[in-house]
Amino acid sequence: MTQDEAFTKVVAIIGPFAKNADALKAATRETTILTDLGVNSARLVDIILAFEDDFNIAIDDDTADKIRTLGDAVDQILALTK
Amino acid sequence: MKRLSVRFQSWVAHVSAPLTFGAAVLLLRGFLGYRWENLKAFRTKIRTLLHRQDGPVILCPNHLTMIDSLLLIWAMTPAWRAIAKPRMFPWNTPEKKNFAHNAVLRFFCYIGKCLPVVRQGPAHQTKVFMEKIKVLLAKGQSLMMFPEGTRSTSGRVDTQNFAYGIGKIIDDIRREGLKPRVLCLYLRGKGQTGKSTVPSRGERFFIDAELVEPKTLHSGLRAARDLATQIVHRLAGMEEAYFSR
Repeated sequence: MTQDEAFTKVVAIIGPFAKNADALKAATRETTILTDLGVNSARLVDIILAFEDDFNIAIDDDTADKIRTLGDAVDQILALTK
Repeated sequence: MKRLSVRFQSWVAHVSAPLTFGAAVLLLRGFLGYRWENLKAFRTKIRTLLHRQDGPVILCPNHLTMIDSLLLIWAMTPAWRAIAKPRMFPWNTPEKKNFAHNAVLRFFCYIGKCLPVVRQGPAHQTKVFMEKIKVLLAKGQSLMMFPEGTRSTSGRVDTQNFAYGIGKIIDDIRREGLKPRVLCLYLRGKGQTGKSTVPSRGERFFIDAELVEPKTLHSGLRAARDLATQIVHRLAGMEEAYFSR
């Protein structure tokens, strides 16, 4: 899977949880999930679990803690799918 | 060191309990004029539910005002029983930023058995917090945590946007070999329609409790979500029962 494919899929997964639709449309690797996209922190767990289901991976707590931006999510997912 | 500090705080809190309870009841009953619809029956129910067996208890109330924990502690037990049975005087986990700026609040939080928590804080702080909780629960004490994570904006138990923190704590503690019981508490002022800082002066409260045994076949984050969902849905069920009386 390429970086772009993973990024598109990550944005699609986060989409339903994002309160800031404009930031979602203009999302880049540096876009922060909580601050920029306005995702409720409690929903971060749902997003991590959706990553696990959609990418068929297991994300441990330490890895989950490292995911702040869309780029972080893509990098961690790609590392786990290798 | 953490064990020592939390044990010392526990000791100070119990020595200060007459002062803490006295001040709380004076404020809530005397100054704010709060009353209970069913206090005697509730206390009997709590005693029946909790005294069946020893061991740690996690109290999970709904959350509408900033003083819910104070009201709940007052409702649960008179001061003398709180001194005799430490777990009847539960530990609380307020957000640090809500009181850290004020020395008086910090003092009362300390003697009121509060463990400050920094939500979304760094991992090492969360670890220290979890260590303290484990020490307390291993000693058979009780912990109060609002499973919704914040006050409900709709005035009803929020079954959509609740946090999974309570589920994570239960899952972590179970992995340590502890088996905490979960007591859901439903508190509501008769005139309370939405969230507020404090209930209206002269408010009359209804309160109820149910023991639950949340179960899950999952582990990790899925377990946290599963356990938290069962608790919040039980609270929603208690709310439904309240409104259909």
